Amino acid sequence: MKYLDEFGDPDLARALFDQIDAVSTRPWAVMEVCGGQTHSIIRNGIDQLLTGKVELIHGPGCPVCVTPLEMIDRALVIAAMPGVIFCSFGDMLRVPGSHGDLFTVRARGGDVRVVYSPLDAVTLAANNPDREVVFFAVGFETTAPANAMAVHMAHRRGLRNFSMLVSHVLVPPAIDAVMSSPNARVHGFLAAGHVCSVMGTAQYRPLAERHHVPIVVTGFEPLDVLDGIRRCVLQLEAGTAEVENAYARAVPEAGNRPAQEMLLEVFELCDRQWRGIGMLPASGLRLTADFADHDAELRFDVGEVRVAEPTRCRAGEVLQGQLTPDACECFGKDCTPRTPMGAPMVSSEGACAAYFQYRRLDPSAVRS
Amino acid sequence: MTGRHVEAEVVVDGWTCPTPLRHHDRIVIGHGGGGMLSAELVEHLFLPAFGPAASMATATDAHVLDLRPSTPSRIAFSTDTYVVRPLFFPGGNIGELAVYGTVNDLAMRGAVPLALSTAFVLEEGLEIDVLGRIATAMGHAATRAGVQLVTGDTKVVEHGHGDGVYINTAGIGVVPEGVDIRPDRACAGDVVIVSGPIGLHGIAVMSVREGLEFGTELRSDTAPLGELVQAMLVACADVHVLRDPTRGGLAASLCEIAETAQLGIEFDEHSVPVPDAVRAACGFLGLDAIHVANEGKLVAIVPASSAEEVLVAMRQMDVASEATIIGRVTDAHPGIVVARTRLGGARVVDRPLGEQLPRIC
Amino acid sequence: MATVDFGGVTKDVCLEFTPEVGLEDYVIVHAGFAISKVDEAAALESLRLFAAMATFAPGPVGERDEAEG
Repeated sequence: MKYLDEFGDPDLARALFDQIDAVSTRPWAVMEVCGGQTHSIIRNGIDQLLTGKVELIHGPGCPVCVTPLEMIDRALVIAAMPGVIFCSFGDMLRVPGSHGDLFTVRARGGDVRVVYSPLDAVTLAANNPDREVVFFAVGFETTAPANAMAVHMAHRRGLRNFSMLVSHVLVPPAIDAVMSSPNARVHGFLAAGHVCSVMGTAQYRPLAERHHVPIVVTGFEPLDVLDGIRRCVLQLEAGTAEVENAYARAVPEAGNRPAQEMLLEVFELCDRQWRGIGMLPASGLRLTADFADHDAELRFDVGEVRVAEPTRCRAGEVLQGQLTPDACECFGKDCTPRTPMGAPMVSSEGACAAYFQYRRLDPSAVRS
Repeated sequence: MTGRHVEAEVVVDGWTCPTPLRHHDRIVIGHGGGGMLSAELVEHLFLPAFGPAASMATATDAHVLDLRPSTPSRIAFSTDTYVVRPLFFPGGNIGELAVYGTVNDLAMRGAVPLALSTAFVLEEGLEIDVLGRIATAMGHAATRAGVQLVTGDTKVVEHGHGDGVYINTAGIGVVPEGVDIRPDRACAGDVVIVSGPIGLHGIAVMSVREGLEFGTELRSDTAPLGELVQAMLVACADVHVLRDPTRGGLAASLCEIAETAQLGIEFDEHSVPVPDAVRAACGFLGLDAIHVANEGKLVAIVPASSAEEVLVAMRQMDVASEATIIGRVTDAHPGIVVARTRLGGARVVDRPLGEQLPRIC
Repeated sequence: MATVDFGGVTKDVCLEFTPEVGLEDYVIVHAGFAISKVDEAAALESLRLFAAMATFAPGPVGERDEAEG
């Protein structure tokens, strides 16, 4: 595919690795806050191939990982209700709640379905007027416009049986939280490319200034990630703290106006719990009062949701980049992808699952 | 956009019943009862549809295969059950899968497949026409694979309890003298070969389920591999391991072999042939092509000294015209499969966790 | 809705957020929606820059490339 394959060229990648190596005079820690970038880094072996001078820290950019436990438990209760068709993106199905996951609910007879777009859930609602269709709206700003449009359409079409369980989160507050922590050790950030395609780059300037960190808007293909790291390191070496756009081909400075307008119409800011991190003010989105009819939190009485997070799970520290997964006592023993204790071990974009891939293998043994 | 049922273009000769079944255009409970309706179904649907592949079938409790004058010392025996949804997909249907799948399992031990049993669980209400087309496809597949359909069974479950058709096939074959193919035989230094492009079957099935359209025809690769294996054995009598990468894809097969043999396997990602449309569909669906099921491919592990001859023999056959070396077996990291990425990094390859693509075969 | 080709696979995608997109344009798609039109000139410029880096040895520490975008 054009504009994809070229950005994976191994020779050009080699040149970028060399550039990064050449310009680094001291160790730097760069964090990406985007599950897609985490996945790309792991998938392509990028953090192995960087020399020791640049450490990549995987931040809380995996929406599956940060969805609060209460929300998962709420989802499990709703999905188990008779007459409900519960729709979700695939990655959410294995995330452990306090007691089981969506797969468990399905095994017990719940109608849980994987969809690739919220529009599929709207179609289900239209085709099944006698069923309650609930869509689990999890994600960052990239997915929010699609979810907003879905609710908007359902509302316009009078689909009263369609509702969304919303747990949207925003990237800038996550960066703020990471840098505000006393244990912060991140020097620079890669900002999520497609989040910025929607939101633009302006909201990162106050963060760069306040914390004196360079923030580079970065894409997903190997060359994009490497170029983002390169620019970040160049800024760190020069002592600057600016917002830079390394993904200009997909990110206009102002972002996507129609998408932003749709967000404003359907959602409003709210405080959100981030699993493992805690409550971050104004860090999430919820449906406005106009769309209350389609709010699954209001529609379904889930009773009291008492959460029970395994006390030994240190996902929060991992998500904020304060603990590398392999330094956790549970890692690889009680906590594995097959028997995950926390969300970052479940998601293919989670830091713990990513580390697990390398745990049994010393990468230097296979490097030619 | 989801679950859109599409009747795919399946090249199966039109099936017409030679003697009309008694007043039924759909399966009823009685067809599984062992009485007249069952007998009718066998005589007027299954046997005519299976054609020459069922020429040896007898209406007895068990079928006796007379192998004389051969006195084989080793019989290969395999079974599999097929629950694929949808029943018809680009490139095939559940019938072909049921025949080729079991034939291929036998072939992966180097056996010459001889005969299959076919057991059906049918849902009340299934259109007779649909069953006829499936059975016809099975007959053709069996003839193409050189096996006989010698015995079978039919049960019918109530409407709402069955998804149309489930098929179990069990098969036997003879393992020729001197052939010893199993994962433990892998040796460090052996070469890993894949017989052709991967991911076609799983994506073909998913494409119907998810309403994906393909600009170029993307069809399941379901095909018999018995002849291919025999040709490979002629080129190299000492093939060490064969595996058909069905559920779990290439990754699952390599992982199983590495774990059983307690050796490492390394392969180059970019040398694994993946059709563009499969790659694109995988990107869209969030899948890795090495985790996607195949139904007409094999992985072979052979001594390095024989690799060239084996490849030449494979490429002579349509079903393996794009056979290629993808990696090697190593002493390093026993039990673990490592892929070298396009960038030169290495990543550990695991089986997919759980059922990413349910009801694929 | 429009038909988008993902490289041999086509799927219907909603273009509500990218009204400026026309036939043959490249788009970034997420959850069934186009969220951005690919700026082809910017893409080619990035690739040109990378190719230049591959041709020449890495520059001295502190040298900055002109910012893009």
